[in-house]
Amino acid sequence: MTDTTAARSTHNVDTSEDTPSASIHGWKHLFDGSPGLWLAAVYLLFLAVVALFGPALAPYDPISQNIPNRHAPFSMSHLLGTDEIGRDVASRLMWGARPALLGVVICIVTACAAGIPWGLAAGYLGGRIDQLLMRIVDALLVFPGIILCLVLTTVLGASLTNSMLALGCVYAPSLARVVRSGVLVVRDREFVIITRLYGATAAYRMWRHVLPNAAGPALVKITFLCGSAMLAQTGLSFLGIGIQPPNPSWGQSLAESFRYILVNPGAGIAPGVVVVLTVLSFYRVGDALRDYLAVEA
Amino acid sequence: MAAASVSSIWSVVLHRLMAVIPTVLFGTILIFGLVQIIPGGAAEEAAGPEASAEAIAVLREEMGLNRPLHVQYLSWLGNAIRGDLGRSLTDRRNIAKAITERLPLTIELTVIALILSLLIGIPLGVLSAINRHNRIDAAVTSVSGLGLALPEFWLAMLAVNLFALKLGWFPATGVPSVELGWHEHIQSLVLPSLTLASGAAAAITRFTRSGMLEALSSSYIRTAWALGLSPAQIFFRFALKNALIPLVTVIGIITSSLFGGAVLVESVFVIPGLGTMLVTAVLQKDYPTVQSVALVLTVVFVMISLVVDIGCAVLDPRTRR
Amino acid sequence: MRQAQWLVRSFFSATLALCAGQSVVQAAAGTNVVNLGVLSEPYTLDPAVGTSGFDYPMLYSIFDRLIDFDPKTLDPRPGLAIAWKFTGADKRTFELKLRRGVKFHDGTPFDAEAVKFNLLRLQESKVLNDLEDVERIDIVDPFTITLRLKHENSSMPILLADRAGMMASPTAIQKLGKDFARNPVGTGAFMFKNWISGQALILEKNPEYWNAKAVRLSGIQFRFIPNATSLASAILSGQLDFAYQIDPKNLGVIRDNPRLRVSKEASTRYYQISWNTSFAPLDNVKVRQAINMSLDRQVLADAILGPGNSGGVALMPLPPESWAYTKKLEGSVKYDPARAKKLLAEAGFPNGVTLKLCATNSVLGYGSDITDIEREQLRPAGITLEVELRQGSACNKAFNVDKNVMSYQVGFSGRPDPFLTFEGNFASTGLFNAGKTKFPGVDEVLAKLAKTYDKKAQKPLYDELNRLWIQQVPKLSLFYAPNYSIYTRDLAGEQPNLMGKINPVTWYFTK
Repeated sequence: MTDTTAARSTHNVDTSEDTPSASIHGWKHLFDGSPGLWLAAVYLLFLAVVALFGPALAPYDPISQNIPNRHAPFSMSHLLGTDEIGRDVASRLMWGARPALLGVVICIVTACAAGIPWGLAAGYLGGRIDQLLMRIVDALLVFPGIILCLVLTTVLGASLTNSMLALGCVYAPSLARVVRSGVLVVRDREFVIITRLYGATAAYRMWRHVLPNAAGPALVKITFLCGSAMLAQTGLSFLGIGIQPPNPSWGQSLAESFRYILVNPGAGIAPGVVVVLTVLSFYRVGDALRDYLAVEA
Repeated sequence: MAAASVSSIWSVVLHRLMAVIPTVLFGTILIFGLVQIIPGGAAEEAAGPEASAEAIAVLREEMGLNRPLHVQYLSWLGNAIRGDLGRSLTDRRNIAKAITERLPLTIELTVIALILSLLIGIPLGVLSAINRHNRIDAAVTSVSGLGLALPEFWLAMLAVNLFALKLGWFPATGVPSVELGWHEHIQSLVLPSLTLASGAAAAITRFTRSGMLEALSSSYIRTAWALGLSPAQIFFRFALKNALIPLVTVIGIITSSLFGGAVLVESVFVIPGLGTMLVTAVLQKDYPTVQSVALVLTVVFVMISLVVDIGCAVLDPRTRR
Repeated sequence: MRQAQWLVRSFFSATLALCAGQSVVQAAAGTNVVNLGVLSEPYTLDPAVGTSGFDYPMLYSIFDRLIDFDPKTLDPRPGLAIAWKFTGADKRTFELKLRRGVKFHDGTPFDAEAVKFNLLRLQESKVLNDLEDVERIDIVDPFTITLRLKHENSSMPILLADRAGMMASPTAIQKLGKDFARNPVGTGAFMFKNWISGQALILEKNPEYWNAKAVRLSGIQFRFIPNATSLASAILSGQLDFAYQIDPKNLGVIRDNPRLRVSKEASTRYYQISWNTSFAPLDNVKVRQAINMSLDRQVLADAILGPGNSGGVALMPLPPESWAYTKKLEGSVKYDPARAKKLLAEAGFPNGVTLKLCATNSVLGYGSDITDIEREQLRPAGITLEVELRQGSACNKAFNVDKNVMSYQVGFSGRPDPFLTFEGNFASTGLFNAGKTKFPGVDEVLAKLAKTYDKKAQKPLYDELNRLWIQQVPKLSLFYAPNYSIYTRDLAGEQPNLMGKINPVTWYFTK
């Protein structure tokens, strides 16, 4: 988040130069010769399982305190030690997986709900409308996501849902732009023009022919946005804007570890690594999809 | 010829300047509109849940919420143009004054981080491209991939822990102003600017690499090889020059992203910049301050993209539309 | 051009500082200027306008007070006034003899006119009510002034040892108006030099100070670091010579640092739940007593300040180090949920009561860090704690101004005279007695105290007040919070006072 989600993701998409995988088809080839991708996929799957069943799997209640046992080191009973009021760090991280992934989902759904129609309209309708819609996209892209998000959450109120809704709105323009370019590629192809001759409505043509062709680039973009959303979400909850205490979240664990950095300097490592692995995995999958689908952003 | 190119640059500048005005106006309407849609009303929110009806009425009057919307907007905009951004709801300070005190530090931090990320990113990108597909390339690509995925504030926490608290090389917190000593000022900027630069440096590395690879595969470079020019000449005189043009176009987005990152890095280092001011204002629901910071940042970002646009036009005549 | 400057700067930060390393961080320690870290930047440095207890280190350095106090006993001693007495048969005239030859930093002479100007200004500002008992101020001669009191008030001298006695230059106040708040001019040992917003307040030595031999520092820089963890990090990494108000849980690391010295200084500050005794069910004294015995104060103290770091559990408002403390009442209330439950039943609440509490998360021991533990402790006695978290000073305002919350989690920093602590919290007119409850017998004891001038005679009256405090529970005092000051080892000369307010004037470097 910090660094521009925009620069990160655009950047990632733009580096598709030298992987000539365009000719490869068939899902089984997606994982060819890429142990990194396997790891990323397995990690995300694991995370999804923890998010769904974490409360049942976690060894301790993430909120129950045990003050005499504060800042306990790694051990068999507390795999990642305990925090400043004796809560089990591993359990808190497991409970934190659910809001983390839920936040990403809320953000992406919002971005799609706003960005896909926006891009379709701009690309398909063209002309003045396209110009106006894209001018707005350009204006919004000038702003770093986190700052727009901070301003929006002031109005909406600090909560996980609100901050991720805001982040979704922030990502919508960049998704709209990708969808628009996908539409422009196919809009004037023969098969679309032919359906028009057969009297298909604009909405039908868009749904049946244009959208599927824009879907590839959009899917790649969305995967990268997942990573960016994860980063942004962690930063926002680090600042105290997001899920509210005592419910655990990864950003909050980082903020708390920083408060006690003098007493327990290692406490920030575990939550930080979990976040970085998640973001890396999303980016890795995004890279692979981009190469597989031979998408030029 | 020369005269024609000069005039076309000026017309580009003029054209871009004209385009800035609607963007800024659009921004001001958004920022103004946001506060209007606060559920329950801005005065009620600002007064807090325990406030009496009279207190809310006083605040409504003070915030000028009893007037028609367009009058409120125009007077807000007019005051802002005259440099009057009102007073903070929490500490009653003059917001414009607080912003002028804090903005320079944030700009300084961002610009230093930008320069550092260019100094790190461009050489690494070149190194990576000219060693394409060998170990050096793989190493640079992994490091830049990690750089993109690391939250800067986490890196900042680790840096504070190691370089300030364990080794004692740098201050752990704050950036004392120049009046308190140049030495201290510079030294305290090292950790914040380096951690802030990490993500941007990674992005620039990748941009430079792909720009270089594209340039190296182009026909004029093949011609250069055929003519027997030295690799150094080919890499730096021709390829790098062309690889950097696309980089210039993304400088704007990288800079504004650095501003975003500064919000978090400032929080970790407790730097009295605009970022910490914004975060505090958001947490305390100090609407006038949030509005004002957003307004100032809008102007800053629009100016950055204006400068980048003009820079592109100067460097690459093809973009002068 | 700007760009070029930044470029140069960035090169410097990357290379120069990297090479410079540790020696540079501590370079400032060689000079005679002390770098003092404080958590909060003052809103104003006008002594008659500000109210924050955190401004004192700065105020003490810039302003002298009419009457000083002995840091150990808090007994009054000469300041800008060299002598004082209550005169007349009714003892309602307070006469002060002023020090001669003193000048304000701007050259204005200090005399009875200046004193009168300052005292009248404080009365008019209405921010502090310290001088509300003063009826009339008369100048007898240029260096003698009398205050005519509405009724007897034995705590007059110690009042003039606080903000009310801080003397500011009348010329500067008239010339600067509101700007005086950020350009303070006093007679003190240090003169205002510069105030960099959000960063620092810089003072330099007053070369013409009347007591110059007591001052050895050449300047003071107050650094504002608005975060307790960063404050501790800053002194650990060598950016500061002194820090206080740190989170005591960090003390272990600081003690391990050979360059630093931790000084535990007793203080009148304590943590409490401040409640409005006009709210049901708190208007019932038995309910208050029941809650008083339902908290395990030692656990709270250890959790918030770290094991062994508190100044002990607090049943009374004054700490054991104060002469007005009553030792034999120590431990007279014990953690006993079963008895509390019985007491509640007697009071007509067999099904328990609900205590609504306003709390603030950003301050140590004011938010969910303490309320989460309190909630669990209160449950067995049948007391439900309902916590509402608010931002900034919202709880304070709701409790003291709007008076629409039942209770709030807060600290109390104590006043120089025990009388003022009891008067503010316990008297029916007390500033912090939000419900203006008339606690039986209290106002009478306080009236007697106002007419008693001798410590020995006052002591039994304070014992009585302490007994009444435990019986009536006007506030739920929890535990005392000593002041932890962290000095670099070469800094000496501190004179800690019981109020926990730092006064850097007498400090010096041994090297």
